[in-house]
Amino acid sequence: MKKLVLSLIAVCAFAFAANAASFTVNDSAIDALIENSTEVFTAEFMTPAPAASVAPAKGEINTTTAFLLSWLLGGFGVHRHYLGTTPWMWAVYTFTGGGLGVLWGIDTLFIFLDLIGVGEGYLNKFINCEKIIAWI
Amino acid sequence: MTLYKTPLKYYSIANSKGEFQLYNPESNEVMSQYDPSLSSTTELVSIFMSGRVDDLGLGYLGYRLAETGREEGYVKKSFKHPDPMLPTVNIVYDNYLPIYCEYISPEGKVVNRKYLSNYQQFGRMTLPLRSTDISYGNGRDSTVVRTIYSSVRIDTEDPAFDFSVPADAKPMKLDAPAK
Repeated sequence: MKKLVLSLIAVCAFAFAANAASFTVNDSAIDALIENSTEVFTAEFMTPAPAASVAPAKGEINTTTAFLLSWLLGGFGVHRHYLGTTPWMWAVYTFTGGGLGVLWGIDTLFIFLDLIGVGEGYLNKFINCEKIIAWI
Repeated sequence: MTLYKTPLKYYSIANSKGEFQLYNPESNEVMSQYDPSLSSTTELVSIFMSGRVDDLGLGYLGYRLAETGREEGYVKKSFKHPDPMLPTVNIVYDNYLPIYCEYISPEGKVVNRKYLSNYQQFGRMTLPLRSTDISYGNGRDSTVVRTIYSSVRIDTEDPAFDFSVPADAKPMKLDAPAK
């Protein structure tokens, strides 16, 4: 009986430790990930923004492309330029970390919802939108 | 005011009202913009300096506390926005300091996780010197942003605080490669 109680306590303690770790991250793993990543010079994204000030026709916009740009390069605002916006939008995204990550994350969410047909029309909020927060 | 030094030198100036400027000292060009989301009050350092650690500045964005509880020995608060299309935000606290923050889409998917750690006291302010943001895309891909604060000084004089954009700065031309 004593062994059973001790075993039960040990299992509970282990479970607690494992679950408590869900609110922390392995800093060493994150450091290793960044140290082993390939650096991309910011200036590579500062090439002339093609047609950034030219409003794209809605028929020229591919939702999948917009989603991929948002997902992969959304932190630099590339998807906003693809969908039509002011010439400086890339700077806002780049130097605010994609709007503290929230702007970028929500942009990607809205475009994804439009892509899968759940949020039809959400993409329209971004087309030729000069506002930083396109979805409001 | 933030001075970016590498790989390019830029000044970023924002005030609490959302008036934002980007200045390139090499070309003497400036870009100005106004938007509440660019307010300095949304910066992590500003949030902790002003003591708004309870909601990490979410109240400023329109979020309201919806639920408070305990999970795995930690206090957990859930914040919701009146717009149901905006994500729900859960914040977990350890000794009243936020250590974990997650954004959950209306569909129930976690789209962003933020981990705050290495808290240190600087005068009256407690600041997490390390922040890790993980944004989740479709499939198994994610993006990781690591922010580390170092050499923190408070109540100090620094010429950088006196910086202002020169009056003769030209509007930034973003249709040409930066020098």
